[in-house]
Amino acid sequence: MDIQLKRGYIEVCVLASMMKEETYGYKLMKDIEPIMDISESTLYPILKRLETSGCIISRSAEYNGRLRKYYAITNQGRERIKEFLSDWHDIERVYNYIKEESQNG
Amino acid sequence: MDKKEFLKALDVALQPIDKNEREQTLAYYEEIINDRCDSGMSEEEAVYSLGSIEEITRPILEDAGIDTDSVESNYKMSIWDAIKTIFIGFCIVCLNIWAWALDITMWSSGILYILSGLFRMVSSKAMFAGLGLISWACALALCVPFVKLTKWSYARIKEYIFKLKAFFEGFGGNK
Repeated sequence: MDIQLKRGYIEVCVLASMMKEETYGYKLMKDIEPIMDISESTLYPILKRLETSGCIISRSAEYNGRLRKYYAITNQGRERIKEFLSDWHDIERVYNYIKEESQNG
Repeated sequence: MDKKEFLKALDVALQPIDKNEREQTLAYYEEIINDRCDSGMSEEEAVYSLGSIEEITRPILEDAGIDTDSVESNYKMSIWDAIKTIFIGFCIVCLNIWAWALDITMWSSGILYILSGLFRMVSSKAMFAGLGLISWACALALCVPFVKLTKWSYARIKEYIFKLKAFFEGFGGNK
């Protein structure tokens, strides 16, 4: 899959995985791994970008005598998911067009 | 590579980005390794599963607007840089030893002077010399933040050792 496209999808996946409750790095990986091929090194810059753009917020909390960073979605993040879902109709239209035309040829 | 070695290597490779960001990145990877260990992986396995240092640092450096090709040459220092690093490291160590030695000498000789003055081993005027020395030592301790200086030097030396290690490893690997 195209890297830019994939990055965009992962961003929305990350946001969606936080809809129910806040999450942390390892859990995120486990949640997203079955859906997309992803590694920690891909996830890290994405989390950072989402945080700088205000789609998520993070807090550090103690767990088992060490610190763990928890991420939660913000309203802006929820907007982002909505946008993605509504964009999907446009993408679908383009996809169908490409598919039809390539079958005709 | 165990966790400690991995984090050290990551720290070295991320030298071009600012300290705060570097610490955050290290914390993120440390947390992932800890979580993987908690779920039953060995430390080595957890580190291995993260991929290579290069894979990890490339996107971070690129995001920070740093040209990764130039970083690589930066990270693999030239011989001249290595010599410079060793020299600066040596100077820092000397400065530390000198500062501590000077202050300790002033303190101890001051106290000795006062004691010998007290017990009349030498003329009682020696006590004034002792007091003088101690006040100089106090003044020096006030002017030079010794503990801070030592901590700072320790951090610099540690960083230099990482860099030099990377340099010599790269040197051996390139042959």
